[in-house]
Amino acid sequence: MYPTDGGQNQGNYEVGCENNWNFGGGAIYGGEVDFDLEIINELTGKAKCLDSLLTKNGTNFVKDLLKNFEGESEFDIKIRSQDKVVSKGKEVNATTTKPVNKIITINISSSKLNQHAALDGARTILHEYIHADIFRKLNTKYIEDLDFKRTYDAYGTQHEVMGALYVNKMRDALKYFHKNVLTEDFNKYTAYYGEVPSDDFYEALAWRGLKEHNVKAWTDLSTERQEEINELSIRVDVLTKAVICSN
Amino acid sequence: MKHFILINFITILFSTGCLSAQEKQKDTLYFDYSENYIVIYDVTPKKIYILDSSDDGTFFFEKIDIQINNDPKEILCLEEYVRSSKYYDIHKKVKLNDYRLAEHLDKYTIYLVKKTDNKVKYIRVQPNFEIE
Repeated sequence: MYPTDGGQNQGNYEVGCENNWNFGGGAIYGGEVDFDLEIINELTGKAKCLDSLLTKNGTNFVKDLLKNFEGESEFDIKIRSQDKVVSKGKEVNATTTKPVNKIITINISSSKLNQHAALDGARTILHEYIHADIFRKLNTKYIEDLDFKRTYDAYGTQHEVMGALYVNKMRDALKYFHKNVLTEDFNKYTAYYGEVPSDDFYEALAWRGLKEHNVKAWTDLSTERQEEINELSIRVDVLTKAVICSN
Repeated sequence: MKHFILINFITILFSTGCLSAQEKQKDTLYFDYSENYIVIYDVTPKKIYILDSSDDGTFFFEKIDIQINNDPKEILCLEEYVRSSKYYDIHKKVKLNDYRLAEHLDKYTIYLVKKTDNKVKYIRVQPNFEIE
């Protein structure tokens, strides 16, 4: 973290924003629902705080990301916190599972999220929302020229689709979120590095969770570009871990 | 207004009936619980992976319940079923299309048949797919 991080300890967050968790609807399944996006929210702690901030003040980054492919959907997204999320015996940041009984489930690891910078945590949530959106669109009928299934099949895997179609969206969303919502952290970065975070910095963040899978859009980049991105990606780890949700 | 409510009520009843009928139409597949092909991690005992599950998007079965009495007409070899399916290509770098396999098996009610000593357990499972 920055040397100037003061009293914000690793993993700290304030959840005083619980009064702001108003998505305009009642609760079902014990969670809160954004009826517009059909999101059942069972997040807790830092994840709940970050998710709330992502949709704060009418600026909805999630909607911005998800509007790549329009279409009616009969599926809901359930997003929930778990102490640890494990896939194939390995602890991971988060997972998203395919629709079961028309619900796509996102599991966010609280332990991993608490270890990571707030901005990186926001990236994790957005990354999983994109997976959920891909699942939803794979199971939704479209008019011929918007058939997402064809687009998906052309790329083969979800991470390939994300590498090719979502990195720039992610970059822009994270840039806006950092500057306008995690403003204190943005200012600390600027003071620490003597420059405002570049677009490349946010792109480096967006590649996290994708480049590890050697997706084509990543391997198509020159070695120099990859090294540049990897160098910038290291900066993410000095960002503030704490996130404050206040009324 | 009364007519509107009545029509809606009938529509809902009809839809529910259709759904139930669709669910009832699901065929059942029984697979042999082969410990050579099935992978279970201690930390996630309810998740049953298979040897061919990929890393970048992973197929697995989720345990639902266990039944003792059942009457399978045929018990299939899971490994043979997967590897002879169109979702598996030995010549590809990523051999299994985990997502498509999960989608395909989702059309069936699935049991894994496990023989232990003198008992036979029928583990009802839900095919699933997870991605990090």
